[in-house]
Amino acid sequence: MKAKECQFVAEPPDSILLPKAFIIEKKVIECSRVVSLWIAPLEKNECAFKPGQFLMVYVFGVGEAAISLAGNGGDQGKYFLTVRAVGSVTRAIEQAKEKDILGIRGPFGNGWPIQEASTKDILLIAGGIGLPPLWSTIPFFLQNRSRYGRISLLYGVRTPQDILYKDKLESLSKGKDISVKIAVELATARTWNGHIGNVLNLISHAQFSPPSTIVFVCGPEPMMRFCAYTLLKYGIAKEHIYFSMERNMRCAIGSCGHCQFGPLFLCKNGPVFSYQTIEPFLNIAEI
Amino acid sequence: MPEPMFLEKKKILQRQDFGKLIDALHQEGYTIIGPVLSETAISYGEIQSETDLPIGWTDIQEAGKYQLKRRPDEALFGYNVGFQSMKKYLFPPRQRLFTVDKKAGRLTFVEENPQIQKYAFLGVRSCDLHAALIQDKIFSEGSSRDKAYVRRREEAFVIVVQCGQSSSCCFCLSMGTGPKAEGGFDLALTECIDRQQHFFLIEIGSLRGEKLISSLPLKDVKEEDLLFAARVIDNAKAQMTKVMDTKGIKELFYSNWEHPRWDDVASRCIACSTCTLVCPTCFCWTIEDSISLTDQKAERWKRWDFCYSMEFSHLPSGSVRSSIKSRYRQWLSHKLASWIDQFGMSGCVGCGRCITWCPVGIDITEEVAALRVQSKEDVS
Repeated sequence: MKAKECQFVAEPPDSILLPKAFIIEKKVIECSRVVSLWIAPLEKNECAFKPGQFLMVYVFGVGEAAISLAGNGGDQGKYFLTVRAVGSVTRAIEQAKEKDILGIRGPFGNGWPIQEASTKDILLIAGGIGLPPLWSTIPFFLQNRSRYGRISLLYGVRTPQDILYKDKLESLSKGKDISVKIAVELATARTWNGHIGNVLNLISHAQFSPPSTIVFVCGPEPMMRFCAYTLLKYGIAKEHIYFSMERNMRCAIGSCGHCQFGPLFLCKNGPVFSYQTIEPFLNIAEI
Repeated sequence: MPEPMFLEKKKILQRQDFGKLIDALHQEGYTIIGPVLSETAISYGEIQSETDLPIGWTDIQEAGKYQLKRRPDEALFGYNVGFQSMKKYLFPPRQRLFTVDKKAGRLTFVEENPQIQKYAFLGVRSCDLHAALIQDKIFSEGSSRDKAYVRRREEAFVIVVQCGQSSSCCFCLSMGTGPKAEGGFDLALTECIDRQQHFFLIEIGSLRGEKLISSLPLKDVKEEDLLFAARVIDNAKAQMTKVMDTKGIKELFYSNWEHPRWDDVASRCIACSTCTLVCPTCFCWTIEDSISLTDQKAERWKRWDFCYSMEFSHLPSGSVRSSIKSRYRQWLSHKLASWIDQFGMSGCVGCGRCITWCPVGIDITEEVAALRVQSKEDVS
């Protein structure tokens, strides 16, 4: 897990609505209906990004979907994406082959507040396909490990088969830099010899000092909400809990109106928000 | 978009010379868009000559009702807002964004470079001018800046007609957007008509406007002309009965997401999206991707979208807003409350179109008034 020079802030392209051609250099199947892709631009340019940003991925003639960046896979000239096939575009991405061409716009969005994490204990809490957007932060933390306090990655999945990045997680957990804990919801002692249950239960096993802890959460919205309730009980401040939110995204530039969440445009103002910011709207059904 | 001008200038154009204004616009190469009779309503269309205007017509508007009616006089602009505004021309309902060619597995993206038509808008009402200023905030600034929109807007020559009457659905006074436009136009006309005279008071709002009318047979303004024009505006104000109380309106919505009135209005709303179509500020759009039969060419189009559709908030887990209640609430709370957080201004100009054209006659001013009853927090 050694990333080369990590770049912050990407310059927006001239035509923000025009995709650029990227080639799928490598594709692996992570688990049922989930694939990872390493994609590279056909015209030479750097794949700069901020962890927590997303791309708009276009499949020829099918359409476009917002996909969170999982990083650059250790290569500055590539983007690393992990995609779960849930709709027509993501199913087409699942079916795509190496050497196929995709149209890419972005990266878009604000990303995780990595700078704010300095000197603090860090909790990364992921649920299911929420792991990849958090994964993009890990090279940044490892590169400047001494800047941060204790770092824990708490990861919850449905079944043992749903665990993403198994090899990478294993090698990460062998090191001392980041404590990795995985909870599996639907398992027995026979099928899984780790924590069984909800990812929230892992919080009590993590080491952190609440007044100086920052938390990045990505997963299904109810899971994130319950995470916040639990974290608040530990005394972590609302402004130190960050969620990566999901809504329908079409333009990614704060123009088309689809991703509105109360007054917020998730694509432009987010997708990462402090719990403090979004709390007034989180518990309103169908907002 | 007119450049600012500091010297306020007013002139008089006689009715019989009105056609010369149209000629002058044509000579400058403008396509003139203005009010035209379209079957049973006043619409927006191309104006070739003054006879294309709905001369001698007016309209009666109520919630869910629109009816044309003859006037006793031959006024050129003696009617209220029709169902269309400048929006359709400045922010076209469908625009191609790019084409993609697929050859030997390679994709080439070719951006659309739209032809920008030079429009002169004739008969723009103050509310609609404010609506364009609101859309400017979305399409001219920041990451959402739309180059084609900005160019169309810069080219657009705006001739306001100050309102001399109000329909029962108008409430621009409540929104601070009318009935008199004070700026942001190239020219503003006030139509002054009675048994003895028929003339237009012209206010010049830009150098471009001043240049355009320089060849017209204009007269200087007399005190009595100004008084006549002031009476015209006063008449529009006096006729305006509809009111929306906007005091603390953002807080009113933000503290009443679960007000029982949302269920009530949802039982009437049929989620047809008409209010978003006629609204001069609604800006939501979607992306449509299509592919040729030969699998070698694809296109992307940008088209108007509507927050009343289930698809609008689609996520893999289903629609976020699956109930009509939530979709109506999204539309109204965006328009009147969250818009203020987003753009520093209301998304409503009080034109009343959403009230007139709602097939079930939902009146947003009534909905706001109802929210104030049994409001969770007293925001008055």
